Amino acid sequence: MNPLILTILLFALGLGTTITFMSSHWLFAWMGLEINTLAIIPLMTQHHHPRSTEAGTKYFLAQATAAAMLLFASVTNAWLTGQWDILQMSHPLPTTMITLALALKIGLAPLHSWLPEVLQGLDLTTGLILSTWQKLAPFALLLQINPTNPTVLIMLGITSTLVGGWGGLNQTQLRKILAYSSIAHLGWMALILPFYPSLTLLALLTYLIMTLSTFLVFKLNKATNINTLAISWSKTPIITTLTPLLLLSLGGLPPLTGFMPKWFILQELTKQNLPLLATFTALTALLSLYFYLRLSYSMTLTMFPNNLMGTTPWRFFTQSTSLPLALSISMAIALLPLAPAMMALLTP
Amino acid sequence: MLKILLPTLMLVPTIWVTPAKWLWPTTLAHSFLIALTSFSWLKNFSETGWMSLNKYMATDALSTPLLVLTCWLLPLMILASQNHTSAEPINRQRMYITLLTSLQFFLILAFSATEIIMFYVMFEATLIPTLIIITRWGNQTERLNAGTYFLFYTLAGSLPLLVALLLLQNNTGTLSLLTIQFSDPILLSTYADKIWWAGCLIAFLVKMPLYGVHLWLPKAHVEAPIAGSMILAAVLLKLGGYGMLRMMTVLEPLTKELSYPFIILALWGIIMTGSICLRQTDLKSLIAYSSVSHMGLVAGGILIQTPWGFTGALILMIAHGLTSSALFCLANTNYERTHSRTMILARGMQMVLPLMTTWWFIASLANLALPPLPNLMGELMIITSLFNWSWWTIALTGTGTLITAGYSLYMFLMTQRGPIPLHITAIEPSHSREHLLIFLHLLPLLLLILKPELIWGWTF
Amino acid sequence: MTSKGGQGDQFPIPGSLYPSETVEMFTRLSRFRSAFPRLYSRQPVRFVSQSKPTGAAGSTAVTELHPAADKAGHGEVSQYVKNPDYHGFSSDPVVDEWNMRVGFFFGISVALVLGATFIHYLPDHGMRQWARREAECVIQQREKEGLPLIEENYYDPSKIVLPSARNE
Repeated sequence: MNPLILTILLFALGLGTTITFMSSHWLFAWMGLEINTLAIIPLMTQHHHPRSTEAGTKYFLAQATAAAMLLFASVTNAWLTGQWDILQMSHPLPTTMITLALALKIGLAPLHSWLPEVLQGLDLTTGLILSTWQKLAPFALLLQINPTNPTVLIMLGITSTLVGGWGGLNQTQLRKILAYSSIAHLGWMALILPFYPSLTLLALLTYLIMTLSTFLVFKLNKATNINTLAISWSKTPIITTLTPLLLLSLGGLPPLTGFMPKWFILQELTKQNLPLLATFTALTALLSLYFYLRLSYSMTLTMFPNNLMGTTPWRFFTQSTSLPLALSISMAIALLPLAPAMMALLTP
Repeated sequence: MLKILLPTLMLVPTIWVTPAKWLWPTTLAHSFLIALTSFSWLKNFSETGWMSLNKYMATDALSTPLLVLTCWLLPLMILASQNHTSAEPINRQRMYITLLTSLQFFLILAFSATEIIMFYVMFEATLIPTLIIITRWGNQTERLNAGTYFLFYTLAGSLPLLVALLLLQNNTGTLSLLTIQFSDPILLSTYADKIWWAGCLIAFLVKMPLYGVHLWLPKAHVEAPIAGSMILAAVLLKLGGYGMLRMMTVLEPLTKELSYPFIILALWGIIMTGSICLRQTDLKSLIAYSSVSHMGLVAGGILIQTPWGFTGALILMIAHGLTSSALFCLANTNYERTHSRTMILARGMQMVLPLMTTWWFIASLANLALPPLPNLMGELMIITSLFNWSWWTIALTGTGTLITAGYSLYMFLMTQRGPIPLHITAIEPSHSREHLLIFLHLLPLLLLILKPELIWGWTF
Repeated sequence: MTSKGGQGDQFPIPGSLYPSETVEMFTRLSRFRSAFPRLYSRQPVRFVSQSKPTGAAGSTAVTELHPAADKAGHGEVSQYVKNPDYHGFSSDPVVDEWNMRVGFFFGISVALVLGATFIHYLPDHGMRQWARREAECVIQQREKEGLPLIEENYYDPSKIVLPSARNE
């Protein structure tokens, strides 16, 4: 891709999200989301490959539907209440519609089906953008509207953790596994949103860090399926050693970072007198943990005792810069002791 | 507290900076010094029972023996792993010792935590190093299955525990072990409270393990390398017993009726797993099932909620920790020579390794609770307190003791006595390292006869 | 392109990527002498030649850069052949001997003997015997003074000042 075009697209990508962040008017928020969507589609289809074209088309359809629904809901809101302000949503009908539209945008179950398909068609860099940066703008909106009725978000959340765990079990493709992992994590965020929005932010932040490091690890190894991971130790032994910890952190095992949002969310749910919901959600996390464990098995824990006979992985010494990976992976593993600081940072 | 934790943490740089040649002796000496320092916890002269208090950690008569056992086990694990990791590259040996060290670190934090949530987090944190030890350093492919079983049994039990603990915190406002027995008794009457009660205990009963949820343990033991088996049998199972002893005071009024099915399962489990041992062909599996059987007795002693029951449970936990760890080491000496866990392939070892037979003899006798070993003290106290509750239990505990004696002797006779099979006439003599290893297991056990109040817990 | 033999130069050997001066600079931190080269370079363990086999049987030539560690742990060659005084610690006789000494010294002489001595001379567990002796002293004193041996109140009730009930 021409560097000029790439620069313009990346700037538009940032601009769209920033407009959504800044807007207090629904029309501007919608516009930012549209700019964002239109900027990433050329990035998705930059490799001319049937899968990426398919992914781009599917992404466009899902996002356009969501955006149309969002626009429709905000017009309805204006019609019902006479104003376009994001922070002053008072009528339940447009609020629910906007919640559903944003759920479709970020891929919460049962509106999730496009996400694994789209992510599978992308290269790892675009996939990284899709599963981190693209979640920010919709979450900025979700955090601002004040849902009067938590049932919708609870149902979306619980379905997402369940579907995310269940769907990933049968996958061998890393990008699809990451897509399902993303769905499960988004479910936790949606679940706590009506009760304690700061925890949503905390969960989003830890999810971003962990997903960023996972994608960077896979990119470093050029791995898109489980088998490729099995020979990664010849390339970067230290990363190979750390990756199981990273994956188990995604699965939410204490004392790793991933446990922090889960712990606080469970605490808040029990405070809201929802212990059964808390137990059920905690147990659905076991489903996700199973496929993270499977990845750790094939990547590190079944490492061969003898040397690799193929020469290719030995020779291509990686020249890519690893500073972001080093930073993000250490944050993704060892942030739990800093939990009070994180909470102080994120609580308004 | 920090005088143990900091040296344990500094063991990690020691491991990675020491020249490859002196890696094992240095870490061994370092960890022995940590173990020696940990004896200072045994000093107990406070009125409240809490010693070496700081903001988050403290020791008392219940946690001290388990802490010292944890610190004592690290040098023994290092001694035991030296031979089977010697063929690995040096960095992997370093990684292995680092894992064992991290396990000790988490275990110290778990046993000395004064906040139940901190205990919970560290209880879970021990899963990761143990999982890696089992699935990375095990020998057969079944180890992956064993690791999955281990992780998911424990987590499925302990995630409800987290929710139950958070609920408890919402009710009482604190989870501090120092004050929780003084908080107002909670009104527990509804059906949901009974589920809450079960949520509080099941995690520990799975970890213990109770008969019925024990299936992960034989798998994990059989597939783990020697250090994994040792720490699993000696300390990790005791996390469950320790957690139960701590939680019992909170669950007070409900336990009286609700614990019946669990006591019955625990006692029935003694007989069932003992019988499984009697027809076992796999040496490590036999020792693992014997652990389940002994832990059944411990669970019964804790659930009966009498001072004698608690004391007996703690004594049996410590004694069984040393005994079963010694038995796993002995099984490993056979395994490293014959490369098989099958008992029938390594019979008549008395002819080739006579001094080892002495160790086998003492360890088997300790396993079947010969007087005056602490094993007997613990079993007798538990059996007595159970008998005091209902004299029907003597039918189960008595038969259980008989079966325990039976399979311990079966194990001893099968491996040591009789003619020597032809295929093992040329095995290596036993090493000084192995003698030292077993001796360092059994001597503390024998010395505990002389000063048993160290492991009597609260009630002394 | 000079010749076909130069092909190997196109693939950097991972260990040689860092200039040796850098490694030496780090190694001057004498305490970390053995650790830093290991952390900063990744030495290849072995290379496998993929060239056409010249001889019969089609075997691949394997160049061991580091000689493989002793394989005696699996019982092919007994350690006792090389070192009749083998203690089970290491294949190097000197390390083996010293490791045995360290193990026995720190395990038995230090940990067990010193530890057992320490435990033996600890004050009595929970200070119970001390408390009993103190109680006997108090009883003897009270008998001598003709006071009742035990009183109902731990403190003298007249000395306790309670707030009046109406203040609450």
